[in-house]
Amino acid sequence: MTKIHAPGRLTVLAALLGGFAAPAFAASDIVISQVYGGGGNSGAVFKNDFVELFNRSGREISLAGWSVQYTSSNGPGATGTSNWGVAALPAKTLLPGQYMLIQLAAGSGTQPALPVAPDGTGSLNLSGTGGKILLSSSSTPLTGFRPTDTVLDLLGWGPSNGFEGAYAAGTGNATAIGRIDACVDTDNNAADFAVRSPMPRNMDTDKTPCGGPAVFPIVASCPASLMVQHGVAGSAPLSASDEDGMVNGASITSDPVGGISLAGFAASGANGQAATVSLDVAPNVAVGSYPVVVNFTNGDAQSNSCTVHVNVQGLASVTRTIPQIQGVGARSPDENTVQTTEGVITHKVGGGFFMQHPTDDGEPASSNGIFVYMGTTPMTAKVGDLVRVTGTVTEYVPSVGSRSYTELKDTTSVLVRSSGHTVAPTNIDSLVGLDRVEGMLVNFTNTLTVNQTAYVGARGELTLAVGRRETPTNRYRPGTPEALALAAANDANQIVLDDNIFVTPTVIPYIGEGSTVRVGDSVTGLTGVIDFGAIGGGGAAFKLQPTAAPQISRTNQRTDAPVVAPGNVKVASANVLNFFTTFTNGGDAWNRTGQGCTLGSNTRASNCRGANNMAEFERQRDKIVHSLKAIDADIVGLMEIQNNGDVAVSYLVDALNRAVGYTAYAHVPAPPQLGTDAIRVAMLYKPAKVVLSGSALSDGDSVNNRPPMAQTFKAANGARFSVVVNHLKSKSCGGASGVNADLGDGQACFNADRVEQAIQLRDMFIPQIIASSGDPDVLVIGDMNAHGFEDPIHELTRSGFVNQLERFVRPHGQPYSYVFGGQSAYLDHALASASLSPQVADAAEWHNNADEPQVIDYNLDGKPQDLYVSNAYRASDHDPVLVSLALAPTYADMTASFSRALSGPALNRTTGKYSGKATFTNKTGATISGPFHVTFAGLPAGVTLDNASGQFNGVPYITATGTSVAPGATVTVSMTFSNPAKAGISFSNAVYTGAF
Amino acid sequence: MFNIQTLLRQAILALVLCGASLAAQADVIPSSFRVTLNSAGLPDATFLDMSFASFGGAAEATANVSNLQGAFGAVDSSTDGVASLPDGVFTISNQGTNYLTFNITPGGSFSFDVAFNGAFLTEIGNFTSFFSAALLDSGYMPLVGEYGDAIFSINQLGETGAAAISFETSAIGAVAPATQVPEPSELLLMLTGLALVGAMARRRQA
Repeated sequence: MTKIHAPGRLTVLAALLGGFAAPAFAASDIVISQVYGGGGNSGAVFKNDFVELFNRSGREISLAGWSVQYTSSNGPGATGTSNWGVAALPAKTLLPGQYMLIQLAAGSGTQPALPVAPDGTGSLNLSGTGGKILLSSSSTPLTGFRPTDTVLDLLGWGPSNGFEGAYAAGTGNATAIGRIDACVDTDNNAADFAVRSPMPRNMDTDKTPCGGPAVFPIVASCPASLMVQHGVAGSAPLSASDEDGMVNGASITSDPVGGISLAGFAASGANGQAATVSLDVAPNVAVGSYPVVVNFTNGDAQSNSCTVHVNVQGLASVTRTIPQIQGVGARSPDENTVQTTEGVITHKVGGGFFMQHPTDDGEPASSNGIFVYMGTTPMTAKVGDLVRVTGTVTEYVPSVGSRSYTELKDTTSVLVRSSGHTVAPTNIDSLVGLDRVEGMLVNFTNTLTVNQTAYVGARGELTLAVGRRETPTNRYRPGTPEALALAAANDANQIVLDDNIFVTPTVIPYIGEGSTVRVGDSVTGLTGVIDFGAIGGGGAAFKLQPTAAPQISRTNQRTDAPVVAPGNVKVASANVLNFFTTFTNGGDAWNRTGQGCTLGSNTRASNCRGANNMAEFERQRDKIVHSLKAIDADIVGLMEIQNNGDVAVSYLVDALNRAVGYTAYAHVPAPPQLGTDAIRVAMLYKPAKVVLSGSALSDGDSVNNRPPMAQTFKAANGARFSVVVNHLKSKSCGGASGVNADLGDGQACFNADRVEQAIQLRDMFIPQIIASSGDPDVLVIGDMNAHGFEDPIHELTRSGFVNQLERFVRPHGQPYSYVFGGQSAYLDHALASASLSPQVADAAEWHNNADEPQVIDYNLDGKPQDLYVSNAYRASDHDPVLVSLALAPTYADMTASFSRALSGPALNRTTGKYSGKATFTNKTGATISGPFHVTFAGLPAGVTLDNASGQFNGVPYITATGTSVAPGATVTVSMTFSNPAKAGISFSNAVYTGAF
Repeated sequence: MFNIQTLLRQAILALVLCGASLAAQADVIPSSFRVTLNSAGLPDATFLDMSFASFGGAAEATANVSNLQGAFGAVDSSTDGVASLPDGVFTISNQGTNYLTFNITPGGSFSFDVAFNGAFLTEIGNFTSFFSAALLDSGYMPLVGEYGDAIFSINQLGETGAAAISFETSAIGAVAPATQVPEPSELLLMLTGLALVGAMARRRQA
């Protein structure tokens, strides 16, 4: 048996996960027996919602002053501070087996009224699919997701964050959620309730008594053992309670032992309250083991007993000091031997305690502290006690750990010698060599930086380091000495701040302003003991169990919007983390049911990857819209949007335009190939800022998991450029083998596939794009699933593409768009072709997502607390990337540099055409380079410039011959007009150089 | 009937005209040109067409056409920018696109005087407008010169150059500067006008 770090603690976690969400209500006499929320909805059976109550007890119970209260699945409100809705119950008394029907809000449908008369009414409007409803002994509106005060019974049906045991199944508009047996309440909604046709029962319905009141036994709570040092008094607190009675007696029923007695009995004050008593062991009790049976009784002739094994021990001699056990090496010299040692308890956690040698041994290589694993063995010693402990020295190795941690297990003796000691924390300022202080109470004198927030919700963990750690391949080519050195430095620069518990916390720790804690925030004055064990994300690491609340400062502030230097076109790349308009429950954004997502040739709801239901979808959508609105880009490349043609992207455009307040955005129509994945890449753009030039292209080559998509745009100044949106193969290892396996070079799995995809992009698709657009300006964006200096990016940069994040972000700080394994890097890129790069004004990342905890996202499931706020933060797991293009205009209006002379018109009497000449003289002192284009604006109706070279902004123009004009030299164009009406021919000219 | 007031007005007009003519002379612009188109050997010649046009923005120039000689018939067609004055005198404006088309009887020569005046002489602008005359067949198609048989380029006064008039002709056209001194009758009229103006001035003093 070892300390339950990895498997053990996780087992406890799993066992308790269900428990934290299930407040232990006393099984109620009056229960919620049926709830119907579909009333008046489409497909409903009745016009009204209702809730039905039932008296399952054997006595009359008045409901006067009581209420039923309702809120939505994850209500009330985003923060849980709003009220539940209340429907007060009538001042009526229910006999045993009697029902009560409370009619609630009517819907708009024309369904019939409830078939039996309600006994009371309320205006609560229940969800037809799921929600939370409770029975309160008060009519005061409750707050919080799972209120307990005054709550007699609670039902959560459909996925919800408040329930007893587990939530019951969801309903439809035609179905109710009903208690399977109205007499049975096991405090587990999932087990007690089932979906069925609504069948309301009222006080006139035949009573179905349950055969008398429920009888609850006395429950005793006693430690299994009590270790006492011979010659020193010891005691253990015992308690017992009865849900439907008061415990009023306690006695020792085993053979009496002189010196072992009960003292200080306090009877229950009310039904369900605990009675307490102290089991005292006098100093003179002889060494030995004494099983003591304590019997508790109540006024209902019930009794229950428990056994405490009192173990009186002589004080064993100390065989090793803690530093001796720890030794100076990686493993204890006393491994697998039984030793007795002594130390002051510095900290207690579930499953054991930390103790420390009272004084420093002067040998920094050997730790002065040690963890004592107690399992479930109760321990009455407390922090500050000097204890003598006998146990087996063991090197605990987590199942995924690469190192061991010395601790004591199979503890046979924990004897308190004296109390009131203090151990001064050892000051440290480095995370290197934490094994030398393992188990010790330490104080970090330096500031640590939050490096990861991913597991603060599920595990109460924040990964800390000195500074912010950068993924080595984000900065150096894989395998280089620099990359290896950075990897080693990163490995030695980490500690996980835990929350002293080894289950999912019911209140998420370390959350600060804005309901968040961000990577980059600072932790100061960190004091606690050095633990070691499994961490979120896999693996094991040194952890700090704090003995004082850590001071976390928001040193990495949120920003309202990304900032980039101005240009004339702003391009963004945004991974929208599986934005699906079809849900995993088969619903969709248009309230249809039975829908599915297509993966390959299969369409199933289980292929959907985004929101589970409408409630999640709306939360997800709102965050993404907030984010895209703040980004305010002219072109947005999207990754991870549902691959259902343009359905999801159109929906997103509509939602974004509603938020913006006008039709700012349109989507680029889908290219020919969208691939067979459930997700695709897509593009949005502002038609007022750029216009599409040609149709979108895609590369359906089989090497691509998701075909990249390209679109050529034309800016207002005529500049033409192409944007390619990419989403390369993931780094995840599922199915990876051979060259695609994790080769240990920091590039993770499927690097070979990504390299192939990058080469295909470079050598096939981009040349095709350039051939199509006729312009070499290409911007490669998207989730490349490769860090800054990894091979796929290298394939592009070594052929002339310029990494704009290295160019613009690196000089001001570390570029990153994603946090993984407690290290930061960017997967989201901005790579400009050689011709485009000089026209890039700026590039930036907006850290609205990667730094934020996953637990604040849109999801409703698997969370201890709902910290969701409808804003732009944690809209995705990736940060968006922005590129500000200062596109060189392809032409310049040089009219002011020329004087004009017009000659004509002369009428060609053969053709009926009017001809003339316009001569432009360079009136500047410098040669002007062509080519030259002369526009003819304002021609009268009926007059046509026959020899126009083309149209520019709706105006005909003539391209002149000649490539440059010296000062005083001229550019001349000859015009031929059709003028059948023989009107006066007038126009204004402008002279442009360059290309339209 | 002799009307002294009418005579006086005509005298002042003559004086002004002479002044303008003198000014034109100063810019070395002939005041008047004699245009001759020879229809010999062109039995299909049906019309003699004169046209005057400029691009929008050009200052006004007016062609004064007079002293028509040859087998001219009636006016076939004309535009709003054409005015017919007494004594076989016509004015054609360059503003817009204007033409004046006469029926003719072919065989001989047709000639007329044309003089140009107007704001193009005094307003600065880089415009050149064209006045042309041509012989057309019954379908209004040119018989010789596509753009006319006598084509005048009227250059507006420019920032760097004076107003100027030049011309070119086809094989059947000819242009000669008309005499640059006033006709004896005009000189007499001018002198008379001066004398009368002086007389009027003396009478008011008396």
